[in-house]
Amino acid sequence: MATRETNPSFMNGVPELLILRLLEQQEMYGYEIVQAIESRTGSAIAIGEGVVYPVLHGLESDGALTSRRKTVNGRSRIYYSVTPVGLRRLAGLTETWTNLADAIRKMLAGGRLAGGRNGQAV
Amino acid sequence: MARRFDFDFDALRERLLEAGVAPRYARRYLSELDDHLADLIAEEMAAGHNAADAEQAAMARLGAPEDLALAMIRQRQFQSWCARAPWAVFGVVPVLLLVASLCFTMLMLWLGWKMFLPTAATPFGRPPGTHSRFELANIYFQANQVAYYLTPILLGWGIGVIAARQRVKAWWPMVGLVLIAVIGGAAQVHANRFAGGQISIGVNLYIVPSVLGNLNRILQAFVILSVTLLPYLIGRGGNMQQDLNSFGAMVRRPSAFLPLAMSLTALTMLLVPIATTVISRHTPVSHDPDEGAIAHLWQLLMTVQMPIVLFFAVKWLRRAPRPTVGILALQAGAWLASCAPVYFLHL
Repeated sequence: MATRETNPSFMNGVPELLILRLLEQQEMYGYEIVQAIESRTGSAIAIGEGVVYPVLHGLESDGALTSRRKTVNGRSRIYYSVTPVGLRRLAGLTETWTNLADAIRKMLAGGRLAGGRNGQAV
Repeated sequence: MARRFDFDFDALRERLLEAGVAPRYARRYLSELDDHLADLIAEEMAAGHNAADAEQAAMARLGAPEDLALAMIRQRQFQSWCARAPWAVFGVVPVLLLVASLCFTMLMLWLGWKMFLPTAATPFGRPPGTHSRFELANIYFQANQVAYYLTPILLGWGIGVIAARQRVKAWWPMVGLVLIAVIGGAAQVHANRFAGGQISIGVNLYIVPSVLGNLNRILQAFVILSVTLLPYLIGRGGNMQQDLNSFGAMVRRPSAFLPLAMSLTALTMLLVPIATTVISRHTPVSHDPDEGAIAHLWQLLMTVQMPIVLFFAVKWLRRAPRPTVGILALQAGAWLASCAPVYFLHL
């Protein structure tokens, strides 16, 4: 069976954004985070699931997340939650990516206008 | 980590450590990956796969080992200090610790001199009159002397343990061990009382311009180097062994190599003064009623290793009899070798 490859864009600031957004709502452990990302993005973002942990550890090391070990149903897991530093970082990332997405949407819309053979407005 | 799945966590750990990832980050990463894999397998089995297929599918979802390794290695904040600044960890810090230890030794010597020998010209002689070896003053000075001799060895062992644990290439640890051995061998504490009653305590690091004059220092440096180098080389060799029950892997266990190192230390502690005496043709080694710091340290090393050997035998004889018997024979041989000079030379 082919090994799942990590979407390159996932490693350029998107994972931090998605993880901080998810953890803003509730604390989660790694497996839960990956499942939530897949279900909420309709599997549009495919990742090697294990690479989520370096991102989590990096955010924790920067002070954006805290972790605690919790036993649920007899299994000990590490749960992550957002800190005030993480919330500020989330706000910044959200603004950056919203602006970027808007810009790309405008660019694509403009591209179709300029490139449309029939000159149709979209 | 106990192997639960086919995923090669050991290889991933080695890859991370060799790339300079700090052991605590590597350990936590592997632990979470292990849990994650268990969750994925449970999910695949719930979806109707058999155990083998579920594990294969789960490993594919987890990611390729090299991708998992690179995701960690690329983040600089996970790098250990050994990887970031090996010159500091293995060069500067041990030397500073050794200097601090020498300063502490001198402070303790000065305090002991003031408290127990306030009128003596030097703190190195014995106070007048009959004294028990268990008298507080004697214990105090002997303990200080033991600390003086033991600190470079402990620092060297620390360097070896850190280097072996973090899979550091041999160059910097060797530099650190040589530095510690040279400074530890050359540093000689001296203490004088001047005519006006003023006290002077210091450390000489000079090398006198003759081989014979330096013999004691050279031998002491050699002892420190050999005693600290052995555990490091054993640990390094053991890391390369894949079979955990092979002789090479077994001998690197602390309960296996510590008794060997202790016996070697005890033996060299006896041989250095003997060799110095014989070569420099000074007074023959005599049996002092108060045996001195070296004798006490020798007894300590030979006794303390007994429970460690017992622990090693109890734990490993059943699990891996052949290498365990071999290592026990080595430990016994080293122990006997350390006792031999005492028996034959009536020390």
